[in-house]
Amino acid sequence: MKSASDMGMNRTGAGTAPRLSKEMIDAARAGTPSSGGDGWALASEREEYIEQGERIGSMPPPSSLKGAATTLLKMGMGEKPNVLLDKMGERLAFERTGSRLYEALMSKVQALGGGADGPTLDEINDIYNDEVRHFELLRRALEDLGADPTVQTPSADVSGVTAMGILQVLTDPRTSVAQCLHAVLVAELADNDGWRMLIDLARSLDQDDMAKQFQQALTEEERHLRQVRGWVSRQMLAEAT
Amino acid sequence: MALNLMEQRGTPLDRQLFDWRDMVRVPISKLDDDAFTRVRVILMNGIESEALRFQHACARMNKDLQLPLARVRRIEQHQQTLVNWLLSADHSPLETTIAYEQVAIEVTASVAQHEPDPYLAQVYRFGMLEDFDHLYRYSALLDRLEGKDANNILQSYTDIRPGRPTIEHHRAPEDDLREPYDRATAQPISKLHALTIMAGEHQTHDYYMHVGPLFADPVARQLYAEIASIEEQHVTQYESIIDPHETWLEKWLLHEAAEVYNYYSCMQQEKNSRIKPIWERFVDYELGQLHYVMDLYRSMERRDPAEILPAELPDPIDYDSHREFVREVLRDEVDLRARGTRFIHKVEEPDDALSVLYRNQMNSNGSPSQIVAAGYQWSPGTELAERAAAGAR
Repeated sequence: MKSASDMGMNRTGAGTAPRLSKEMIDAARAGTPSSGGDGWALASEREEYIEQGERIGSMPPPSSLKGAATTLLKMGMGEKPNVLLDKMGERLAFERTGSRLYEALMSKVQALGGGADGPTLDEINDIYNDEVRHFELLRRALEDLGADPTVQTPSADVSGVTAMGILQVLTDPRTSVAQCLHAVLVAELADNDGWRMLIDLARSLDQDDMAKQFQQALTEEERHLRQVRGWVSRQMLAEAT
Repeated sequence: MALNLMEQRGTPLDRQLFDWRDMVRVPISKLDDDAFTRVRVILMNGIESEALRFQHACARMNKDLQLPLARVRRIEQHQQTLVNWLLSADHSPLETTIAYEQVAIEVTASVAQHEPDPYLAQVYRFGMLEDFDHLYRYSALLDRLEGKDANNILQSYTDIRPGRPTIEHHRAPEDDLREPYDRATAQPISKLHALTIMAGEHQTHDYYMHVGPLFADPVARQLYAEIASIEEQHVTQYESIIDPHETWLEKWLLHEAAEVYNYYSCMQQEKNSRIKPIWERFVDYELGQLHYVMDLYRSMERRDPAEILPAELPDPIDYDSHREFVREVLRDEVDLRARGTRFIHKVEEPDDALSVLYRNQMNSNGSPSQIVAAGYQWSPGTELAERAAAGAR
């Protein structure tokens, strides 16, 4: 397989057909916009919709919670416990999708090989197993709080939307291992900060045992990030030499 | 050498076979393939989509034809899948939209120039100028929403500038119907043209209706709502130019002929060596389907298909940039409006015309197409490139 950056017949640039490109520019300059203003017109319309105050969705009502979660909510801490449950739901969803990302990466490496500077199948498999364990950790933690771990919380939903592009890159048969690793790096960067903030939040709600367990997950995620960053960086430099 | 529809019998139906992997192939490259390969893929998806649509409608009205229709339709379904799945997943829905408008402009421009009936040619030019403006609006959206250059898709073949402004396209239904060709006297190419453009516009409408809600941005959702409504008008216009007195079987026969004609046009001009054999195979499949329907026509209507079909296929769709023709039409006909089935200059449109009242109502709370393209002028590398360079000077 050719390297993703090898020369080919890319036709997207204006320089591909200079004569035609000049025609395009001439035509664009000859046209008069049918409405005055600029891109702020779009922004202003967008703002009008934002101001309607709708949201993506909500957390489930306390009636569906039991045990510690109800206790937390009764502690007079306002919305803070709900934020914790929402963010735990987000990490749970992210780890579950992350597991699938690494499955897709394994297929890619299985088919193309990781290269001298890239990951081995075993290394990816180790990360995959960590992701599945982290998913399970969050599932149990939510259950221990009396919350329903099958709920798709608002933050979980939004993190799923965020990951859509990453999944497209990983599952496209035409992308290279290096391109996939770059997409995974985006996921790992967000995941690292996500765990860090979740730990701070748990501590602020005196959930020290939970924070301790999450700290272990963060340590593992930090290792993932170092590994992925290293593969991306070394592969890019190797390809350029 | 032109293809002889009567002599070439193509592949028999029982040998028109598929499997799932056959249908799901390596797609075209957004970056490396010629834009006209993508244009052909999109148009042929539209042609197959129309085949399914027509055949389902026909089945609902004709008990005796239900089984033959089901047989052919199953093949059309798989042909459409194979063709449509050639689009690669790195096209965002909005980038694919840019490609759809390029199809509408370049294919309609080719048809308008080859159409022998002057009234029908006028109808095509009228519709084309509207799709030309849609391209400009969507290009502004692509730039301002995704930060991308529409010319990465268009490859400098199709101009990006205002046409007849989209805000003016909204017409009362009374002004969207046109005069049909006469089935007895119209030339076969006129019938093939009408089916081709109707199919293309119908799939464009369906595509916008499908992807509009995929956008988070409210202005994008508005723009798709607005332009989908105009595409619905275009379908209304183009289906009305087809003689409604053709029998169901006559219409089926013409649909199959239009499919042969279009695959044959693709086959003759395709440069991608992976895609060309697909067009060749489907020319043979469509010839097989055409002869199957010819036999039904002979046995059920007791008429000779040669009364309707041309012996040899007419000149193919010209898959090339029609820049000069489009500019000429823009210069001469941008101010045309529709009044009943006729076209008039905008100054002849009275303030109380049905379309004016309708348009005023639709635009009474703002115009998405005006908002999205406010002050927009395309330049290579997006308007930000122009702005950033001006800032640096």
